[in-house]
Amino acid sequence: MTGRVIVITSGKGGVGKTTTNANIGTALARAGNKVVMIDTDLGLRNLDLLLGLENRIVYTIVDVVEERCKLKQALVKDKKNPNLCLLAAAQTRDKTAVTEEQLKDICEKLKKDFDYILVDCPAGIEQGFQNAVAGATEAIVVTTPEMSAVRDADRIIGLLEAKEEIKSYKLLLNRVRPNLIKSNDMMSVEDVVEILSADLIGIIPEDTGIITSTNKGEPIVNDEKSLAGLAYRNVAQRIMGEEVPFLNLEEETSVLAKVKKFFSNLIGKEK
Amino acid sequence: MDKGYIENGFIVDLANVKKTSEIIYELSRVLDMPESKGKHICLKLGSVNLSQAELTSIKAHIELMESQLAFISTSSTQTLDSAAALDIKISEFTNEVEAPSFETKEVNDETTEALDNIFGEEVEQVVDNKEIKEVVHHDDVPLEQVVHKSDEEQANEAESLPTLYLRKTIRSGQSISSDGNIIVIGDVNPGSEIIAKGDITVWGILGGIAHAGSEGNNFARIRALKLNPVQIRIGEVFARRPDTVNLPYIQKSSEYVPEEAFTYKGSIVIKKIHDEN
Repeated sequence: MTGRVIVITSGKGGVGKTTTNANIGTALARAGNKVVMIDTDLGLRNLDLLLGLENRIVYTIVDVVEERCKLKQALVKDKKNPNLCLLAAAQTRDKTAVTEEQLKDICEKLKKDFDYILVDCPAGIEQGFQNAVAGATEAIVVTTPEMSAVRDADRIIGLLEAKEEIKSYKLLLNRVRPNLIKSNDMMSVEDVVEILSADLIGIIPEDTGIITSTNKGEPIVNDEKSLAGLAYRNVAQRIMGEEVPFLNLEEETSVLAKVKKFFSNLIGKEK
Repeated sequence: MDKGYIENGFIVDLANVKKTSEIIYELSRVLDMPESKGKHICLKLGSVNLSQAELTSIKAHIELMESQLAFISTSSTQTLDSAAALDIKISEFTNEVEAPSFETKEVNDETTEALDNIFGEEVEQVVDNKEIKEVVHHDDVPLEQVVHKSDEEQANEAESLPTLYLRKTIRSGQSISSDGNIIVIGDVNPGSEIIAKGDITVWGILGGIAHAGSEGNNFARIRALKLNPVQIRIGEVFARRPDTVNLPYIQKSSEYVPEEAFTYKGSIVIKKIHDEN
């Protein structure tokens, strides 16, 4: 078995790298793949919280590279899905505790046992980013439809293009708010794709459910009713090579919107 | 220009306001107060460009609120022209309150020298951030008027230089420089810079910084399907994007008319390249 190593990166912080990682990883595992997620955000680890696995971490990636444990011992199994594993970052160290070579080595070893290795990249373009990208051959660039996030994504794509090991990169547009795009207060999906001239792998709508799911340590892909969850499941399918059409976010699906529409139709008819 | 002196009036400072609607709104707020009725208003405007019609409606609005427009001050040439056409007085405001004076000790040459050593002499800088002029858009000027004598020479000179040909998007953080001309087939995104000794041609949107004629050739040219650079530099002439259109990203369109930037009388001028030329 040779797994695919995909780094999830963005440049800017707070656009949803870790959330994306947790959800895509969970969705890929739900589809029957063996998945391992590596948190390379040393010193600021979050991925374990999003998966609700914080209390199960005994060994971290630093313990692996400093040979205090074997790689397999450091892999934390997910609560629900035995196909899903996490290699946690150390919270007490900084980015210099692991080198590019060491990360490359870990990825090579994990490739033998897993279908997908998702690397969660820290914000920024310094050593942390260089480490995370070292072992990867594919990248997903997460951005939001904001000037600053798009600018940073542009920078990141430039850096990824310069890396020979990265064979392909895809764009994931997060926190999209269709009603803001409609009123011209937000850059549209087409605008962002054209500016960055990159292929799109997913459009995730802004969803307040993400906040509660983060707090609970339960990825939103497990919520069958959530639109963001569905969007993430579609991304996972696209990674697996299936063709899935993008969600039509224009249609408002909330009950309130439906009621509003009903009444506006009623008033329209009376006139 | 007159010094802004008024009797029975006050200054409304709207120098930071960018929209006409905001000016009207702010004025309504100020003039609605009973103590501002029947006073002379000095309107301090910033870089906002007002047409004659807009200025007329602002004046009418002030009169409607039972006050009078005495002077305006502005840094926009368009507003100046509009005001002149409408016979509205233009003034420069002076601070009536004297700036507080600090006790200054005589600084001897030794101290100055020591300070210079630490901070370096920055006084003699040619380009000052504040002094960079805005790009001038010239669509109505016939090309004959702005063609330089050395135009032919310049074309020959550019042709004699080597050309760097790039078929990709130039992204934020990337810097491309060349001892010759640069041709980019793709966009030049904001946050990037392109520096060429010769001409720069972009088959796409130019949104970063472009510097043509980097070794002092003021006759170099910059062309793009759409010119939207943060800053444009040709030889020793610098220009920045006007604040009124300060948008880093612009929508792509199939209707762009290619544009060319060149220097004319010490300014950078952008002109659309139409078929007939």
